[in-house]
Amino acid sequence: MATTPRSGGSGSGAAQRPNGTSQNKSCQFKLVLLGESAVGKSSLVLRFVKGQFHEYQESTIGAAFLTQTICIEDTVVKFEIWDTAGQERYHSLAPMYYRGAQAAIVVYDIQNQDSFQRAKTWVKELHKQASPNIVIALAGNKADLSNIRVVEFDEAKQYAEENGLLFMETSAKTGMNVNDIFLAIAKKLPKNDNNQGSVIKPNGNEPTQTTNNCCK
Amino acid sequence: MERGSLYPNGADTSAAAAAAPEKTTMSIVQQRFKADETVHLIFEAYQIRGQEHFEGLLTLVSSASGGTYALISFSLLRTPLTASNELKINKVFPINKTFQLTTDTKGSISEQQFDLSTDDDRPSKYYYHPIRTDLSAVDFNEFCAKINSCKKAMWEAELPSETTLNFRWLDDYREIGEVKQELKKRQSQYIVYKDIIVYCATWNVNNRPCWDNNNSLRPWLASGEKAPDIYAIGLQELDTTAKAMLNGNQMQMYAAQWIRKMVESVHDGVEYEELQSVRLSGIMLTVIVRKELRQHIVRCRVNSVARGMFNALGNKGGVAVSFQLNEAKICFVNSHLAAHMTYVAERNDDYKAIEDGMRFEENGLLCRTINDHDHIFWLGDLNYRIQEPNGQQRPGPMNDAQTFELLLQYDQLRTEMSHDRCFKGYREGEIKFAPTYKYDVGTDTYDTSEKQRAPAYCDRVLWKGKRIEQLAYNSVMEIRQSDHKPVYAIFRVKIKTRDEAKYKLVLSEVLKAVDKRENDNQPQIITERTIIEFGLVRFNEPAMRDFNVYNNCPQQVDFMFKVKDSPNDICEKWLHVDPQSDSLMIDSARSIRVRMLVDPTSITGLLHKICNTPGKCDFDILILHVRSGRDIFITVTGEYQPSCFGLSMETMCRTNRPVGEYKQDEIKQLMVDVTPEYRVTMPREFFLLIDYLHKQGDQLKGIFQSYDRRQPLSSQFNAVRDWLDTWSEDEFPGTPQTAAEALLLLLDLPEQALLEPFVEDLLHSRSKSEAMELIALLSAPKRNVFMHLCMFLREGIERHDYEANNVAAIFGRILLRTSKSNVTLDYQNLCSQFMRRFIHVDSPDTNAGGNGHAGGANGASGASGTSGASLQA
Repeated sequence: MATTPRSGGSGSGAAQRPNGTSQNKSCQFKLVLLGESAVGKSSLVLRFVKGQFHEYQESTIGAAFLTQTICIEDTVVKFEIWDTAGQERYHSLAPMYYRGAQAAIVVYDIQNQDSFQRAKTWVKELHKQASPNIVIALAGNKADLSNIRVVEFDEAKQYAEENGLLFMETSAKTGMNVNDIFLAIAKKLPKNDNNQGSVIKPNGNEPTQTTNNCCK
Repeated sequence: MERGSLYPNGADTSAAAAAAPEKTTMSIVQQRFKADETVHLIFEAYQIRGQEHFEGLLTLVSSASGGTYALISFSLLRTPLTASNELKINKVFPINKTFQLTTDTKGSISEQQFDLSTDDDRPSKYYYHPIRTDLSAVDFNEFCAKINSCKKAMWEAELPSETTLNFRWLDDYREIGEVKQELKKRQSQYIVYKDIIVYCATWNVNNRPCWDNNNSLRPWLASGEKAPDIYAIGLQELDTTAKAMLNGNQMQMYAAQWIRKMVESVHDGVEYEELQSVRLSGIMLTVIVRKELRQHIVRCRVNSVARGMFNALGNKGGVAVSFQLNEAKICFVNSHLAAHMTYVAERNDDYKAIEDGMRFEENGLLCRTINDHDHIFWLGDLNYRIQEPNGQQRPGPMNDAQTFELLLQYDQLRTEMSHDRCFKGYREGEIKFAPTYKYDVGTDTYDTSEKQRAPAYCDRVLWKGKRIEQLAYNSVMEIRQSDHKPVYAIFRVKIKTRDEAKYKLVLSEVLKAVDKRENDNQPQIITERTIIEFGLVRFNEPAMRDFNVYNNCPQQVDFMFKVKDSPNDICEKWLHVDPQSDSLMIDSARSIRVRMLVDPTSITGLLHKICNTPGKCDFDILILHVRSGRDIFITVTGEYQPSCFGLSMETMCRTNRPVGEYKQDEIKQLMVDVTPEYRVTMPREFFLLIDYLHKQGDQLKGIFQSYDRRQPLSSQFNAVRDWLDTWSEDEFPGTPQTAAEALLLLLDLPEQALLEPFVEDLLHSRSKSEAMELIALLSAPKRNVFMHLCMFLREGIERHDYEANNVAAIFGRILLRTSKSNVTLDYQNLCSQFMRRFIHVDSPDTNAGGNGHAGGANGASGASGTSGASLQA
């Protein structure tokens, strides 16, 4: 009965243009932190999520789960962050956490050459076994102690470039580059409308299609 | 302890409790708040959800920093209350100007009920018990009186502004729901109002085509100085002839011409485009907007409601366009209501039907109605007439304000609206123009035909909503080709618009708050320990350890052990965890029992894991998952005391001392490293068992009847295990049955079957000699064990100690076992058949070796290769 005067009804379709200013996209991503024990994974997360730093951060025995949302341009990006235990004895459990992750931060300590080598093996493992589109960032943490560094900035940077990683030296203690590295990851992640990937919810192993209507 | 008796309820008898200040409900509630916040009263109230009722407390709290009061509704996680973390906030009511406490007992479950509401929230219903249970709580009358006096004190004494009094302190207690809702609540922090000009126009064109009109439509559509932002142009009777109504395409084209004409006739100097048109038969509404505005318009929808004949024909009815511009939802309706002087009720009905029936699809099942908009403009040929006063005919001159005023006193629309019979909530501007109906076409003269229809204000523009100011409302006399004059109205509308900078700030605040809530309210449990140490674990000896998990967070917590990738279970085969999942109430603990048993079904896996784990091998790592929270790794560890069971023949031949003297990592070395020389031709443990059995003579009757590694082992088994693992020279500590059991396990438990890697080939070998060629290629320990075993079995069969077919089936299955999961009967037959060749007494080529047992025994214990070599012959 009700027809638009134009044939074919160009009507409501045209009206749903997504470029209105009130249209904000929102995405949800699973991010996992990997790296040797005591390089500062939990401290980075704590700094990013709560803006805090504890000189004595207790060792993570398990996998801690936190969320943090940031806005970049017109997109609201919600990170579901899994901070994993770095101890070698837990290594075999890591795939459960990086599986299905859209992003990973591999952390090493700039004062510790071994931790850098370990970071490289993590990167290798991720390239081999994680989802092929995973965005990986390499974080040289404890950058506030750069006067006693053993891992040179240029060396790590070159390694990161060769392996297609984002790279920053960070300091959970001073906050240096902490937000920046998460922001850089958020920028690099694909943010297709309504394509938020499947996100592993903390309350189960099943991937669930997220229907997050953060913003209209 | 003595002081404990001072406390009236007598519960506080412990020293710690006695030292603490008295814990009233009031004092516990106070602990829930910050230092400058005071709890004034508590009132016991409960809520009903479904069939259940939930005890709760309403507390009146004030903040010194905010200068305001609020009611905070808690539910109790435990009664009676013992600590402040048992209070869960379920709602916060700021006592602002819109706060209401209403008692309404209509249709109630209980008379003791009331509603709490504010502008932001729908009323929440609470109930109370007639008798207080807590002495520090107040009764209902006190509760009401206190709240009313607080509200009065804040808002009625003078008129304080929201800046001096604020409710920001409540943000810490508010349950922040979805981000979207929260943003809506905080709208005032980022919404600004922007002026736009809306131009509404309506004209009943009386079936006249637009090209009839040599005059332009500009006097109608381009009036006013300022260029409008939005046009909503309604036409009626576009073409109501039967021919037009039957030919859809023609009508379509006809409408398109009208639209083109209208777009051409709007204000100059600004670029416009058609946003949307909608037509129901001859009723059409076209919305035209400034081009630059288009990108700010979303969710544009149209719909129509047909009325007229049979209430369905569509010659009467309404069409509407709905959209959102910035944050404002705007709706335009064009309607043509029932005609004729006396059909007032029908017009009202048409209006009602359009208002009720018009729905705009939102998403899925949700729809928005006309009244869901911020700004509604309703225009059209509403067809309300001038109710002729008795004895008074058409009024005289038609061009003076006084006459219009007089006529309007009898305007049906105004009368109906004043009685709320139609257009409730709508407003209309002052009419300072002549009735727009009914003219002789081409003139400004009212109907001179026979019917002499009375002039009327049929064509109207009404509006509803906030922040709308009408700038003009007029008819256009010089457009004469219809029997109606066109009408237009111009409005200035202040539409809600987001200040992007402020919005971003609020959004990031809201997101932070939501994250904080999610992170802070994450359920948590504490585990007593994350390492479960079993100490020394021996084969076939069960052990168990218990550990506690506590819930010390203010909510119920569900936990479960997560299924891992490998093994695809929550734990390894040698472990058993109980419970595997559970719920913990606040402040409660649960003991979890981990049992460990390395038995015939799990030893192979454990040894495999030990060999394949770099460094020290833990028995397992359990993942204790807290629902919606973190995972805790529980490491189960200890030292496995190696035993000969599960070791390969090769490994056993490389030992230089009893297996029982090896440590876990030493046996691992021995299992992994294949270079050391064999120290004996066959494992001592195997030889000792055969030797014992051989010496039992006729006591062997009935052994080797059946074997299943899942069967529980006999009670003497562990003694036999130690006898073997220590190379004991004592007498064998078991029966022939135990020895047979141990022998079968010794052959069955190694990761590899004895005849690997030639199992497949051997099964398909056609003769014993063909098989012998392959057996010669086995490692010396395996080969020697096999040959020695066959001789022993053959002898037993010869002596009729046991039955050949049984033995062939049992040993065939063990020695030729396959890793394939589905073992067919056929496969089992092949195994038996193979074995029979080697143990069959009548077999022509079995005489080699003869009574070689004693020789073999000597050879093995002498750690020389000679006996092995003789077995190969």
